[in-house]
Amino acid sequence: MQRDRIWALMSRKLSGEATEAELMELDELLNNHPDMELSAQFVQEFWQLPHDTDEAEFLEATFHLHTGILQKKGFYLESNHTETGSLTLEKQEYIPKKRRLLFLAATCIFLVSVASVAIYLNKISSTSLANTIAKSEVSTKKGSRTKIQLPDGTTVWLNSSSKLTYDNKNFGNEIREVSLTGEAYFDVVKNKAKPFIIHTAKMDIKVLGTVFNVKCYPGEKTTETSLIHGSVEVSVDGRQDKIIMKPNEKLIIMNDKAITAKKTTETSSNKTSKEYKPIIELSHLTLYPSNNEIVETGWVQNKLVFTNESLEDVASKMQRWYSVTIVIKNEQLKKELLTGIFEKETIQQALKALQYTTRFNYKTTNDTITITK
Amino acid sequence: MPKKDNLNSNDIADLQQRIAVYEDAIAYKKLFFLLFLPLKNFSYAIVKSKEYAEEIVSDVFVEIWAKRKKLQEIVDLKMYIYISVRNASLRKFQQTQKRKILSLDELSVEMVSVEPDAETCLINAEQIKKIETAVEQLPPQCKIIFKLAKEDKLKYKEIAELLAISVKTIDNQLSTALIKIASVLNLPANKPSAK
Repeated sequence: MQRDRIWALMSRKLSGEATEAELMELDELLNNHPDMELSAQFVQEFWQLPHDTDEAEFLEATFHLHTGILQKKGFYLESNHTETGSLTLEKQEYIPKKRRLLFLAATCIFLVSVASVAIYLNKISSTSLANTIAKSEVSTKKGSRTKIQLPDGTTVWLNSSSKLTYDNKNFGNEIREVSLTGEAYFDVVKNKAKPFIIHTAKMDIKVLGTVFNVKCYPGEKTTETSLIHGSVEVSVDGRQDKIIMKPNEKLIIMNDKAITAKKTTETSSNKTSKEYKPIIELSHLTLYPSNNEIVETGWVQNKLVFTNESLEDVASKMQRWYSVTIVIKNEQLKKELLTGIFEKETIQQALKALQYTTRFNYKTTNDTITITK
Repeated sequence: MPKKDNLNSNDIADLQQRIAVYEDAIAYKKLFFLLFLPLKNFSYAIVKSKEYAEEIVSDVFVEIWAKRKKLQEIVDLKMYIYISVRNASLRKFQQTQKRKILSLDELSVEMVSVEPDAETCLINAEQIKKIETAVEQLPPQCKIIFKLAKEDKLKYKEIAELLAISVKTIDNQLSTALIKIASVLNLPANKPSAK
């Protein structure tokens, strides 16, 4: 019977098991049976309705219990980024404590809703506290990277020599705002009502919930945003229009117009124009040739990746990565193009590897490496 | 159509990697949030006790953290977890019921209620209630298949492995479920005016 056939095909469609041919057959059957179309639509809608979201609190409390069980068995849930020994977080003690507070706050929701007096008292003390530590700041030194979680659950990986600040008191009240110098990889928790905004020296990035990388080191030639998935809206200083980025795109803003005038294709900057107009370029993420990994976010996986980048740019990455100072004495060497991935290599091994493709000599004195022809 | 992939296997593979490589506690928490409720309900169907079900799922997650460094060796983490929960639940069942074989018709399947979205929905709250009642009344085997396909978003092959039944049975049972659901909607499906 055709009616049964329709429901057989519907069940395959909804559970994602239908083939192209079956989907077409279903469409055709429904066209021939308009009386069934509404039923089919209703059933599909029911199937796709989201689940009741009241469970978030239950899950939070259950997970809290679960961490207790883990601890009893000798397991401590801490992200283990510090194990490599090379990471130092300046506010190391502050972060875990705050996380613990968050946990407590989450599990106390039930209790507090009964004892409203307690909330009130709590609020008073927390505002007076907030006035003293209104700004939260997390920064990393040269050669160290870290991962933090913001009060809304958003995860931020902070690359070396970077700083992330946010207003502790107001974060998440209406909007979620942070400021960044350096490089960070964001996994933003979705919340349509509270957009997440990242301020950098050259641009602001507004997102709803997505994963992306931002690189804005002072002194570097460019500011870059690389989008992994989701969508973001970028407002560049000195430009009226906003740029909407799609996944796998990379937005490059030239920090110094003098260098960039030659390089860009997008905006023809009038050299005589008095108005400052940053030069921007929208391109694609770079994939590393041999394994198709995304170059821009390699550092999140503890890899130093570069493709077709000048020795000068690679040296600047290595300086932060290994916490050293690199001086290149030869202008021609600076422009040599290099491709490579470093994962566990020491700085000495890395330099030796580079010598295979590019001929140079180097000398190490204390933390300074001097590269000569 | 908006598609909500609660249990997207790519996401799980990503979390698996973060847990294995970085011992990432946040990824572990995400995995827990993603899977705890569906697994708890699955276990409950077998052990018929909320306390046991929660304990079983929690124990499986303890094991995941304990072997986090070797987690990358597991090819399909989601199925690995489901099968661990099934086995632990069956062991509990054997312990408490003192018998070995559990028929699929003895399962007590509980469904999660859905949240109607008044803005985008054709279907109203009353109709949803009717459907939910119809789902409640499905025979246990049909209902567990419906739960695993709809709520847990498992593939036919995965359900078949988990319940030790054939893909053909799943196909049949699911369309039976849909026919029952459609029948309570009481739409003017058979009226001539429809054409």
